[in-house]
Amino acid sequence: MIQSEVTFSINDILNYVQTPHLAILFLLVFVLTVIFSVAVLWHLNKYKDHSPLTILAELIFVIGIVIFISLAFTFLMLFSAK
Amino acid sequence: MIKLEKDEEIIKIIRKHWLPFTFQLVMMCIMMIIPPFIFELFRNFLFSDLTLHNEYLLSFLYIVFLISMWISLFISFVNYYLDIWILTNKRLVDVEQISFFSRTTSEVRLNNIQDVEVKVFGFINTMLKIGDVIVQNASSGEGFTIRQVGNPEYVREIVMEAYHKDESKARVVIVENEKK
Repeated sequence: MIQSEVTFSINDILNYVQTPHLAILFLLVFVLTVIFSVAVLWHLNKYKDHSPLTILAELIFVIGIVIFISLAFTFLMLFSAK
Repeated sequence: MIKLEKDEEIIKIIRKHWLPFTFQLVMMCIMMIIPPFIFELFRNFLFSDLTLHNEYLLSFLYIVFLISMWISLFISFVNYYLDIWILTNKRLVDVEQISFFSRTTSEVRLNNIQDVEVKVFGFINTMLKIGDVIVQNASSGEGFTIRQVGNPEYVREIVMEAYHKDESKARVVIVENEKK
């Protein structure tokens, strides 16, 4: 009697992902982030009112993006360092 | 913001109430923290054999998700922030930010205002004084609406006040012309 056992492991699936795949994804995300960030900042500056709320929103947005991109890059580096 | 005409002054800039946007903000923040909870919840079932190497991969993917949520959040903010009504002593300009790259700008002359209507629906909106203000344009017959505005009765009052001032000014001009 032949018994077949089907096992599901996320770890096995993730093992297929190689560093170049992730590097391409990072590059894509980086480019899209830059495009959308420029668009958001352009919209916020559209009326050139330079109100404290606009400046604060821009500052929070840029700081957040920088932190997230740095974190993504850090995890990419940690992933690539086998 | 808009190109003002000669002797035109901005009376008030009207925005949507901050509460619907805050609700959206809270929902997005909840969505941002859901993945780590799911990870911890199913750690023993789905991620029991997860290596440190793959944990870095999942962390990377989570950061990518956070970036997309962060941008979405600010796109929502832009849509909220740029959706405005500008009331001047001559006209009412409606700048409606439909989505990130589409918006409509329409205006009605104060002397063309036929009716200003206020609609408040629901218990929460009544308690927090949030409602829609609809201005009917006499010349085109169409109306434009600012949705979820704070204190709609006050908005209606200032629009009507501006309308009456404009109307009395026009009457003075007509009387002066008749005297000549």
